Amino acid sequence: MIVSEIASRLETAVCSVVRGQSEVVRRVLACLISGGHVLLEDFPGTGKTTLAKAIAKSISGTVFKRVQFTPDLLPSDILGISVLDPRTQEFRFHPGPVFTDILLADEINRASPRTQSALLEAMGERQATIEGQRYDLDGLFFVIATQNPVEFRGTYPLPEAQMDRFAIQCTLGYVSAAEEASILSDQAHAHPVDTLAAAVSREEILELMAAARRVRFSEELRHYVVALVSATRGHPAIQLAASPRASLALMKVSQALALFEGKDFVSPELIQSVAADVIAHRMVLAPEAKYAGANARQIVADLIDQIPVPA
Amino acid sequence: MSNRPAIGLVLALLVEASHWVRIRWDFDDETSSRAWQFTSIGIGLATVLIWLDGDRYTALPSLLTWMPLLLVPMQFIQAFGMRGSLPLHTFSFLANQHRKRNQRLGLTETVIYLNFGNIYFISTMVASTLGSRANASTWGFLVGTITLTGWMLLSTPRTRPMALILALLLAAGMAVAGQLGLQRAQEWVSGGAGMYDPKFNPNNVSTMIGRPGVVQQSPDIVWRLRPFDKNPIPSLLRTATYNTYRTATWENQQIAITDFKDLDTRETSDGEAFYLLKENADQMAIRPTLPRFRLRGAAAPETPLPLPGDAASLRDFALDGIERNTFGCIRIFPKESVIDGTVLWHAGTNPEKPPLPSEDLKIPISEQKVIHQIALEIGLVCEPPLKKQSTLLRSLSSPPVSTREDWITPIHGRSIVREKDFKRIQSLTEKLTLIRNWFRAHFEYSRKLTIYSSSYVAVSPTGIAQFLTRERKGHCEYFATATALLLREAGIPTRYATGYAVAERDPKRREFVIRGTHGHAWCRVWDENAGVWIDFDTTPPDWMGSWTPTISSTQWLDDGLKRYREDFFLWRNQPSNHLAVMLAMSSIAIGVGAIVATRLWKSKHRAENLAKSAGYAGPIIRTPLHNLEPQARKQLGYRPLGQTYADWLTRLPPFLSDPSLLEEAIALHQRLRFDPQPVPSEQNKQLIELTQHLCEALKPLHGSTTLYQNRK
Repeated sequence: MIVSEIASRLETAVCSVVRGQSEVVRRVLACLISGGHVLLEDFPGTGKTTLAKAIAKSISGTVFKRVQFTPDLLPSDILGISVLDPRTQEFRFHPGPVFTDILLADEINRASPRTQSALLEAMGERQATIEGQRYDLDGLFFVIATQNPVEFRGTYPLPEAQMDRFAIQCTLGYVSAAEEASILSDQAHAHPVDTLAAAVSREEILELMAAARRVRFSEELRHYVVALVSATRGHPAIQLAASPRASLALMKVSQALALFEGKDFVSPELIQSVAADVIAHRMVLAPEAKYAGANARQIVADLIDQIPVPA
Repeated sequence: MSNRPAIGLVLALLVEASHWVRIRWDFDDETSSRAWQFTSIGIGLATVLIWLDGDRYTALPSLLTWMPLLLVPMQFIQAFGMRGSLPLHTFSFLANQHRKRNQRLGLTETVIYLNFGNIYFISTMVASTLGSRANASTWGFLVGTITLTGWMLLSTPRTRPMALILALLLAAGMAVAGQLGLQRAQEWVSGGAGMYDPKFNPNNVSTMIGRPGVVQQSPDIVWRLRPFDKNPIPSLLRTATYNTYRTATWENQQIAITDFKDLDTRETSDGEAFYLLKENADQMAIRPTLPRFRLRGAAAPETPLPLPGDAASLRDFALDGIERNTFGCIRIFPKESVIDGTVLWHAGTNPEKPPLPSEDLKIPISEQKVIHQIALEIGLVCEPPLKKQSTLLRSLSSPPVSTREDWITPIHGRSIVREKDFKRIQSLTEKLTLIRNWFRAHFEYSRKLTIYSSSYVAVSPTGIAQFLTRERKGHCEYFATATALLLREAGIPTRYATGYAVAERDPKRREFVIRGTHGHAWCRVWDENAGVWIDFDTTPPDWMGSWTPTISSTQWLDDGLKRYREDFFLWRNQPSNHLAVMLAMSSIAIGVGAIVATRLWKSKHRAENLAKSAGYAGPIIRTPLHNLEPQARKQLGYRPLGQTYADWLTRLPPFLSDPSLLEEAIALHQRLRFDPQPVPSEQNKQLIELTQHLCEALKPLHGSTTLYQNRK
């Protein structure tokens, strides 16, 4: 099957740079293929930027842009601005970094909510409306946002609506000692991402995205996805439960994941493996649960244990 | 349960049936907690019923024998549940609340799972060894143990014959040791072979003579005595009599320990049956003019009946047996745990036989000197002492028990009587008055004992000697023992009697209450002229009032409970009420059982049915690999609800020689199960083959220890 071969080429290329994170890499790539966006919540220095760069470089013909979010960043800094051209006496539109294929929004929670919201439309509808004018974004528009889970001073936590726009949220985490040693030896002379050659073309990625939508998903598993997501709605520890957008994302990401597994249908294991990444960040915990130390990912894991899975 | 084989068999079938039938229930935490509540209530009720039914010393063992029946809901939940084990928090209300709170707050809790089968097995073993037919001396249980162990061992493959024999021997040895140990434990807990009073022995009673301390007695009600209209009430109720004093102990000597004989019965013309207390008693013992009273109380086999010294006959008691020994101690084998009946007394006859001078005049050598001195001081004897044996012997023309040599030998080798030296021949009444007056004048009653006497006579004076000469203060055992010895010195056959004083009247209920604190000791004196034994008590008559018993603030509650319990039992034991109670109880039990059974039946599952997602109405596809589930379950336990079949099966490779087969099978299974596109039928055939291979690969593992792996 040709599309699986494309998927594995892409995965191998990214994994050659981002060491010891094969599972997260696969999920992030699946998210890309499913047309969603990723929120990486992680400590500094764990390879978030490298991952984004590696993805951009392994796909030939893609544009990669990076925005460092700061408190004084304005929406126009992201979307672009029209400037009066003195020669033509006309306003000429200068597109912002959002007009790209892959956008790395670094430390997204440092920008003001106003700026964060500017990304909303772009992420949700793949279009930007600037000064009344609508601009369509590229078909491959993929946002990798990062945020630091530890520092809260001078940050603006993402609004729930914005959180819901991310298909998955995941964590790279620290790698094993052996992997870390191999990272050191890799970068002894040059960063491997600089020498990374493109493994797939932009067209192949679009083909892959189309193939992901064709991955077969049985009726029974659709009900399982809905059962899993709707179980968050009656849960006493959850104040704001997951939306139907979560069910949709769960289906799409598991379809894309099936491609990486070399399958053309989805099995329940795939759904379970990404459920926490897809569902957990969309929920707001009830205050008493939050202060008792509850963890949204753990709640999702418990729900997976409790809800009968098609055997 | 060894005495209830039918119940045991039903329980065993119920528990074992889980291996043969495929019906299962999806019991959740809520259900198991409810089952535990049900079980707890059952245990509580059983405890109350057993407590009501028997005495406290056998309550624990009999509760343990019922445990397998009481615990069966829990075992059922485990054996027929989908989990194969029970979470530990089921058993604690607090832990369950904590778990619910954590669930509400979305916190995860590490759940400890417990294999209840082990607990059930232990409780069954304990119950079977405590049953009334379980006995280390009956070898049936040993055969059973060996058979069961052998059966279990033979079903496992690769057992070497030597190992088998060794295991069987080990099992048999442990069975015998465990049985004996349990029996000892039970005897230790119940304080003897199931007697009502753990200390009561008709042939031996130890006293507190020579031991300092405070006399402690239980304030619990032991018997209740209800008078008929204007009939008199006896002041002393005797339970036993003893005739030989050794240091601080009264015993019955020269009498076979098993000298209890069944009582005669007699029926009047209008069909009333009486037990005659005296041997060869005549019609006089049941004549209607005799005073009488009703006696009510809890009794166990071999309980001594407290009766007046001149009791004549008994009626209305529901007994399996009633016996009397030579000393007139009456012991009973009641039909029920509470007995009630009428005692006829004041007949001028005694249940006991006439005295044996060899024993009833004997004074221990260690006491002889002091007793003689005191007897001289009182004026009971002259120097040298007067002996009345010869007259006594003449009066006993036919000695009832024995005609051995010592019957006529002069006791202790004393010198021959010199009657002329003694001022006057005193009558029995005069002697008794002398002694009574002397004790009244010089002695006082005390329950705080200060006399200490070593059991080595050479070291210190005996307890009785100190009591008579120095302390002159003590409790009834001192008075009774000293009096008995003094009277013997004066030549009067005397015995030591134990029992109760009738002293506390309950005006509201118009009955007399006999408590442990009314326990008393006195003398039985042989009245040679009348040919009867009479009660003689030298303890100061105010002894009951001379000290305030320490009665706890809840004593009224204990008394009330005891009364109601006894009255309820007597009410229940009436045949008409008995039937009604039986019907009511069994209809409640059947009702509850029916409700539980119907609810269970409605919620049953087939073991191989697959769970459906909520709202999904479509068909559930079964693939050939699903047939592996029963085999795999033997190694892995039940599949957790939230674990996919493939993930569950991937725990199998440690049991398989070729894991690649499994991987192939799982891939095919997933395609057949979850790919909506039609699959070529060869793949189905291929999976059938693979499943067969896997089944065969798993087969040799059966019979070995099952690996219970529960939820992650």
